[in-house]
Amino acid sequence: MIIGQYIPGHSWLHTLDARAKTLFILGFIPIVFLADNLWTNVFLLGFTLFAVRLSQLSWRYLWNGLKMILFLIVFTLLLQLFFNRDGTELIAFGPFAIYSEGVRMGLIVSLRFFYLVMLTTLVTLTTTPMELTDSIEAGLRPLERLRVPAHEIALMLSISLRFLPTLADETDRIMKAQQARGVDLKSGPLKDRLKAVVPLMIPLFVSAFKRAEDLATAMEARGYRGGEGRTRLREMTWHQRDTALLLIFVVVTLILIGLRGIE
Amino acid sequence: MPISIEEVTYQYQLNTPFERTALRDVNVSIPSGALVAFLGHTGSGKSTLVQHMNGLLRPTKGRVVVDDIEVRAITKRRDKKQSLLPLRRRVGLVFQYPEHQLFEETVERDVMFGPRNFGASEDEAKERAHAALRLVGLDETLWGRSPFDLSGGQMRRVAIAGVLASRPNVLVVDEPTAGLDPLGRREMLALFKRLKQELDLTLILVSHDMDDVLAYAERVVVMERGEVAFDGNPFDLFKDEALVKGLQLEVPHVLRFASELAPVFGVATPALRTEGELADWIALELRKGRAT
Repeated sequence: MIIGQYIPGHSWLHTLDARAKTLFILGFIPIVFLADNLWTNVFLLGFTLFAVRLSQLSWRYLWNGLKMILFLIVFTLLLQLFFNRDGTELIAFGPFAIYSEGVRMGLIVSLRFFYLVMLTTLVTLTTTPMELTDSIEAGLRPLERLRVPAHEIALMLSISLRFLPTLADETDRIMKAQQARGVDLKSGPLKDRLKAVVPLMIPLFVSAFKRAEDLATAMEARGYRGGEGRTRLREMTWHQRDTALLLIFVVVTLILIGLRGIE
Repeated sequence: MPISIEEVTYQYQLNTPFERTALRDVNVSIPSGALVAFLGHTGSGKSTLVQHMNGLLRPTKGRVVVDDIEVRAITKRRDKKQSLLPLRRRVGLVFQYPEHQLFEETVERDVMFGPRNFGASEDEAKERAHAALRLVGLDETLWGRSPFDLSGGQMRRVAIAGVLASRPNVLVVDEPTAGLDPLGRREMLALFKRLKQELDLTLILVSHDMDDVLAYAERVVVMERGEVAFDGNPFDLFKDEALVKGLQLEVPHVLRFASELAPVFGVATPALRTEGELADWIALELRKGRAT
């Protein structure tokens, strides 16, 4: 899985404002459903591949990372193939039969899945986690009037994101330390492997709680008192290219609506 | 137990944009019963290298041979199935801040964890745990306590006992003195020196501290950017100041002091290891000076 990983780079996608990218993805979710015939899908497939090209990330890396998701996509395809009974019957073998609608819907649903996963992955791969949480905070800000704690939510998110790699390192270290004491995490019956989780989880929790306390003390020592009136180290700036991205979104939507008419 | 590292290359996160070569064609061979220190600044590959010694990491290329056990890159099905348990029993690894690995309800049970995993019976494990706890000098009244109630130094001793209880022939210790006060450091190093003699261990010490290395190691291996940059006698390393600087190391205090004082006495810098030896040497030179 590579969602959530950030790969530094200087492509056009990297330089875009995180708010523009998040907005684009949020908007993209509903318009994927506009793709329901051959031409809309050809267009969206082309668009997705073009976006991958634009990100300058290696195809091989994306492909390796998406293998897990590929299983889900194939699974949906098979589900549609075998259980959709609309349209004309194409092939029948024993109790199973494949219908034309099954093939069509299977392809469409798995393609939609593919576009969404691909584009969201691109966003997370080209945006630092901090930028992402900043954009979420910006998005939640209007809800502050409704007493939604926008700053706190964003803070919690960025702290968890910040500590993910730290915890991953810690897990790796403790795992190795216990393996050095003879724990076998990779083979043996399931029951034994589940038992082997205890020596891993307890030290991990102990250090996570300790780390949380230290962090709270460190923040208080530096005068942290919530989001009100707080200035930022990283100011987000909206450029023309970000407006361009939103325009691209409108154009894509219009093209999709236009192509829907063609049969 | 001899360890031989042959042409070992190791790459982290193979086939991703984060691919990084941590070790490049490393050759080191350590005879049985040696005391070798591995030096190098953070990221030089020394920790990666020692993790190859008990199969926690497998080489991307090359092979590691410990006694009669060979670990090589996974190329065949057979390699994947190879059980590394016998290797891990023979080579004990004490990680940096080992107290972070404690998890059991009592000190005794935690130390028994290793031997139990390596197949010892309950009674046998208990016996070995007691022997190990005595070796590290942890008071018997603490054995029934929770390891989380102990002080930092005591916790570290419990963790070390947890490794010793498996009765390894080779002990690898990664920065054993990190985070300890000066007295604690001295005690910890004296402990390992004593363990080496009493248990006839091959001891491998990973360290940042030049004074510790000079005081204890018979041989130093310096790692730099994943390669072996120096392998030999500590005095040969530290007398070459340009080399020491180039490897981002420091001359130990005792030697620096002696080398500045030697011209005053009009003699060559002697090979001294500890502050005690330094003091004796100064006393000797002063007495000589008075005689003439």
